[in-house]
Amino acid sequence: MGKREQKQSRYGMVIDLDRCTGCGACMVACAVENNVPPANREATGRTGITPVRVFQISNGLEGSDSRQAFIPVMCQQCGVDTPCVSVCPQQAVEVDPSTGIVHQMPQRCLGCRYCMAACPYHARYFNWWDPAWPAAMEKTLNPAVSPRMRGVVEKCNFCHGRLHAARARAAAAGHREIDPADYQPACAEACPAGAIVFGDLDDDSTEAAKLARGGDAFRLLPRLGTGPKIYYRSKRPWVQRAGEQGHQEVANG
Amino acid sequence: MHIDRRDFFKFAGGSAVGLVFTPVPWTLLNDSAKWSQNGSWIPRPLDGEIRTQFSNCTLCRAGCGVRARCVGNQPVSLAGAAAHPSSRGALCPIGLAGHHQAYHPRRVLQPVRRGRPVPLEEAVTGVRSAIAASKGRVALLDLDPGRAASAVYRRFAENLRKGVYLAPLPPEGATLRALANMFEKPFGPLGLDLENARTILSFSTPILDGWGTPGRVLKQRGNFHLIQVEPAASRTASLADVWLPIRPGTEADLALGLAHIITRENLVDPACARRATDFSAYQELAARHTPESVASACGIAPAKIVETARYLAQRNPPIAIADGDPAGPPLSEEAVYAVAGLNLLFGSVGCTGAIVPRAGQLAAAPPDVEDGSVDVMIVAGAFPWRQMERKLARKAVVVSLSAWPDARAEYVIPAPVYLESVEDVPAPFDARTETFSLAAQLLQPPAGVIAPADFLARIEPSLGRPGDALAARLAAVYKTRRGSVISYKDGSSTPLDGFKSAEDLRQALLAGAVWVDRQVSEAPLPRFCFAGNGRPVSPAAGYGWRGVHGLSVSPVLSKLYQESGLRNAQEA
Repeated sequence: MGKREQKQSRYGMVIDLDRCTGCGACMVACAVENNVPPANREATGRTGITPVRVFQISNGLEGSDSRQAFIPVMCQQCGVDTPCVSVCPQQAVEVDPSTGIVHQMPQRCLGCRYCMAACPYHARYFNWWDPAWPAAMEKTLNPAVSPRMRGVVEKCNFCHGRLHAARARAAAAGHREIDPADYQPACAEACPAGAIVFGDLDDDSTEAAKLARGGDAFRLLPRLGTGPKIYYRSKRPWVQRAGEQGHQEVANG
Repeated sequence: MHIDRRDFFKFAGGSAVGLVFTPVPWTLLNDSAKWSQNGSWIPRPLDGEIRTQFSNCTLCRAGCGVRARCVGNQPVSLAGAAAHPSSRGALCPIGLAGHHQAYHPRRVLQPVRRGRPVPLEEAVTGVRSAIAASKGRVALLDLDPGRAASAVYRRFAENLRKGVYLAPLPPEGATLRALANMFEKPFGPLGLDLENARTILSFSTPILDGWGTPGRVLKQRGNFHLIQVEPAASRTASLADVWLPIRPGTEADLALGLAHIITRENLVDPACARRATDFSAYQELAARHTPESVASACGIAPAKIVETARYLAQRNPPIAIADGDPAGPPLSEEAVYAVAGLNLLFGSVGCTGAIVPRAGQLAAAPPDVEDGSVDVMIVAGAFPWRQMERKLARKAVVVSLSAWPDARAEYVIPAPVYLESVEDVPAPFDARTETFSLAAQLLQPPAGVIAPADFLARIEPSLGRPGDALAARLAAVYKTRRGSVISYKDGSSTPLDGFKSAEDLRQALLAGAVWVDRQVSEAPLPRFCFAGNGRPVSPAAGYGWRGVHGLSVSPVLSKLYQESGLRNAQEA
């Protein structure tokens, strides 16, 4: 074989909404891992940066029948006609064919925010302010990720720094492929309820692939045909309906 | 050479076309993009060798195992240690950003008197004079009792004339405390066998929102049926399998209403009737709480009460918990005792899948003092004004040995924060077995910071070295010769017998490990009295989210309360 063939993966997540308690550990772990700064004094839900954001939805009933669910929403890693890729004038967004991960390259981004307008999941965030941490807290930044500057868009990239680190460890051990257990995004690792399962959706042996094919799995806004690689699970029909209609429409009433 | 207008445009046009075929514009674009995004004001992460270190979280009493990724010696992220038998690889949002504590902008870094920085010597002299001048009590308030440092605090208080050691009731574990108070003979410290639990009946307890050891509870969530009795549509209520919205203050009525059905339909655990010294009186009390009378009080339909009681009896052994919300008003003592009694009625105490005794000794209840009697209050932590202010005399001096400011305290003596000192971590209240681990020191405390025990030793030199108390705790664990030590690095388990000395054990625990005692085999239940011994079991007022008082959380938690609205600012 003259040419080295690399394994093609299609990384994705399956999130069990019946286990998620909305504790927010995924959001904090993501911010720590990806050097997302604390909120600027003026930041709001629209202008803040939450690459994974937990939305709260309700079944709309009153009294003891009232129930809530929490939906962690991150970049859905669209696999079909990825909307943000097609609109970016800078080629600052691209889908890595070897992993299926949709990458955002802040160095190329000119901050036009077309991608934010195109993203049907509102999973992209604009840096309205320069990143700032309290004095000396900068020492706690993750060396694997560069802080982004004001004026660029960012989003979840499945903790790409961790993928690089896993590849480096595999290479150092003389392996061509990474150990799947060695690469977990921070949110999946941090979820205390074990609600987030990450893995290669094309590899039938992974738990993520099995769960994604389960009868209770669904994706957000399937009518758009964007082929997200984030799957959700719930046995509650109203939660499935909310996800398929649009979590934000439900969360925002 | 003559250059006319035509030549100039030809040259300029040709150059423009030619330039496109050179790397110059693309390199310039690339460089300018990099340059514009790497301004000197953009923080640069540290560079260095990536290492993994282990510790235990001391931000609350759960004591979760921690795996820290460090650049050199600087922790840059924290995650749960998967091998920890209780926390099982989970940390709460506060713990995940716990390494930010040391750099929190609110942190106090030098002794402060009434908001004005003072030298340490002046603070020592001032506190010593206040103690000498006091005519009333001098109290040492320990907000985190049961640790090695607590022994030093107790000794300090005992050495003083009119000194008293105070330890307020912890925010969680009221139900287990009430049960312990019901037994005629000590029945070990009680814990919960959540790993085998099938049903939990919770009264206003945030079971799914940080109660107990969160990782342990949430990992088991799929295995137990949760019935939440709570007036408010809390997070736990909205996620429970069944939510019974009850009128506030009627929890005891509902508990006795359930007891009514259980006794009337003869669903009582046979051993309960034999061992209860006041069973007939309890039956009479329960008989008065018919479903109809309870329904009119608590607002839950009689049929629902009957259905719930039958369901619980059928799902034996259920666990009934009435710890209340650590952040909210505590439940009444009657409610806690009534709910704790349900566990005895169902036979849920001393059996697998419910409430189990641990090998160990019950901590003695610390003394209380009269309201308005304390002249000098020295607090290991931030003083909980809402709970304890009534104990203070007029013009009392409050000395807060804490890292966080307190505008009302006379002195604030800056203490080390999480990861800045070696501390022992005892078992959380819900643990199945006794455990013991050490929080390693991963950060050097800044100059000017002094550990509370060291500050007390400056005031009272005869206290001795504070490190001796920790050595004594380690020696006591080592002497048990029971249980095993589980390493966080690889999950391996080594019997305690395998350690040559207490120092060996210390080294292993500091490298990242936890000692886990053996499980107690089935033990006969002593006789008990439903009415208990009258000792209070509930804290006087709420502590705050996760049952932690006076903690300043990482600014990164603004993701939860400012940028997403997932929680409100008070919770964070």
